[in-house]
Amino acid sequence: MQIVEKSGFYALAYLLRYLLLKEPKSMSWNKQELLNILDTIQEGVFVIDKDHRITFFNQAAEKISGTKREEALGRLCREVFRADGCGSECLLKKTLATGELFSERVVTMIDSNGMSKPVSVATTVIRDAKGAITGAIETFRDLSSGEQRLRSLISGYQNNIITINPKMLTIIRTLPMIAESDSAVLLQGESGTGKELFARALHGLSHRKEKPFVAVNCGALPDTLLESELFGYKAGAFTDAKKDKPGRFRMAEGGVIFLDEIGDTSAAMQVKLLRVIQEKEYEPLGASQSAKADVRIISATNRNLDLMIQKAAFRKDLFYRISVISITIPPLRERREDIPLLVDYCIGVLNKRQKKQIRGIDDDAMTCLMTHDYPGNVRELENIIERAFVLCNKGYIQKKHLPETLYRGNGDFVLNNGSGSMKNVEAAFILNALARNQWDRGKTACELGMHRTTLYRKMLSLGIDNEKQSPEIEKMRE
Amino acid sequence: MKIALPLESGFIAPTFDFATQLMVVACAGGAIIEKQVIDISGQLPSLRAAQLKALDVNTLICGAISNPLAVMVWHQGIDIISGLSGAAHTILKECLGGKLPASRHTLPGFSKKTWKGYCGRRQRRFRSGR
Repeated sequence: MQIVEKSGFYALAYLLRYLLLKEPKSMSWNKQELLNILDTIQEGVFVIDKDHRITFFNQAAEKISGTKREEALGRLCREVFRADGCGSECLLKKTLATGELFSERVVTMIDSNGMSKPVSVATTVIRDAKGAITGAIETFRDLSSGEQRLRSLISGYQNNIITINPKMLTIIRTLPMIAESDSAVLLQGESGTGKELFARALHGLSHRKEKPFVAVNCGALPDTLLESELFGYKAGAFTDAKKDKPGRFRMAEGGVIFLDEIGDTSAAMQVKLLRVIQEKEYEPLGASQSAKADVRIISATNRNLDLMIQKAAFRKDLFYRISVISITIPPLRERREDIPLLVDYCIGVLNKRQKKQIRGIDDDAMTCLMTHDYPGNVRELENIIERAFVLCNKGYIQKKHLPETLYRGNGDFVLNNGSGSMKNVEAAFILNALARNQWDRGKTACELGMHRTTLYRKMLSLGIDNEKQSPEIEKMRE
Repeated sequence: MKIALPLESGFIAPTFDFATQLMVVACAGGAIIEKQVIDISGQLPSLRAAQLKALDVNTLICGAISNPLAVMVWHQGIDIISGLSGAAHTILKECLGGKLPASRHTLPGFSKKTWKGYCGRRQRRFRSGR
């Protein structure tokens, strides 16, 4: 066991080669012992022949993929492994063709329960005594379990960027390269998409990580206050300025300054920022000499700066200075596949924080969450789950624990202006109840406390026997 | 009625989430009327669900499908028959014949799974994994 742990992947490859070819006869372990060793390790291991059919499948592989060994043996590896790299980018195919080894490649696989899992993959070849390639071995590690999932889906990050969205993963993969440089970065994205999380990730990955990360919300302060906040002041600069006060640029010396909501700064402030970025110098209020600024500037905004430039509300030259590297973070509605992961993460965190035992979320509630548009993005989703935690004590979060606006949004029926007759009120009431129950008359009747036939009779009299055929009903939709 | 099948070299793609081609078949009375193959490589999961709806697909026949994508497709009112593998035309033929494909056509680790569209009453649970 120690041998496997110490020498890792190549020891595994050697053991498997022995098992498959029975080559090194001098080894003292028998075949069953070696198989037992492979079954005790936490990494999934499978071996394929030249036709990509599985010839060996260990216990960890069974657990990670959700596929039993008996079912996996003899099947094509892509049918069992089911990852995003199984097509033309197949690593095993390349390994078999060229003998090239791959390690620490992160791919997403789908297990037999329909769960997307990020896995770290490594491959190597099996050669016969003459050196000809006879097969290949793949080892894989589940990155989605336990602490690793809570921390990040991409190893090495300290921030909780949780995603399986290809767009987001592309951005995340470029972060180390961006972090290496000192160029100004502009993070654009709607409110609540996690711009500060990305800024902190860039700081954490850069050579400035030991130095401070200072965040300033430019939209929260009036101009005069923002100036003294950013650049500081000297004693006597104004009444009550009794001693020097260092600004945020001074505080972030050697590190990173994060200028949030930069699109909300005034024209005068934009000029001052331009000078700092351009000259790497600034003047504290009341100072006679400029101070040098060795800071990396990361800006963020939820505004459309292109549009603001067209309207002359934002300086073009400042835009070009702050957006040497521009990153646009997609809103949550464009990466809905992340919603279950984020919900899962929030439930885990809140269970710990509030010492509750919420087991998950039921189907109806998840459907509501999946179909909502999230104008407030991840922050809104977090708040929805936190609200559900207040209302739900144990078991599963249900639809009733979610805000009503989630399931009464676009499909809601309301009264037309000036048509508040009893008939219309009754029709709107019944239509809403029907919509809530997916037009199941039995359930609706139950909810309204009337018999099914009474409901049917009322629907006929109000002209709502068929939702799509009635133009009046279409009018009642908001 | 329209049926969609994710394709890979004439076989059902192992996963709908990562498939690069989609075959959409219009059929009536058990016979194929029209067939088209669409490139869906690199398409985001939410767009895949929306595209099925835009193509007026009634049933999706596929291999593995992730739960989030399944919910998105299911919510569009599209039925899903998942967990299948094998030659696309054989599976399509069996489906058009009015029966679910034989068990030799299931992916390892899967059992054939049929999800009725959103109007159905099926109750599935999403577990937190903890």
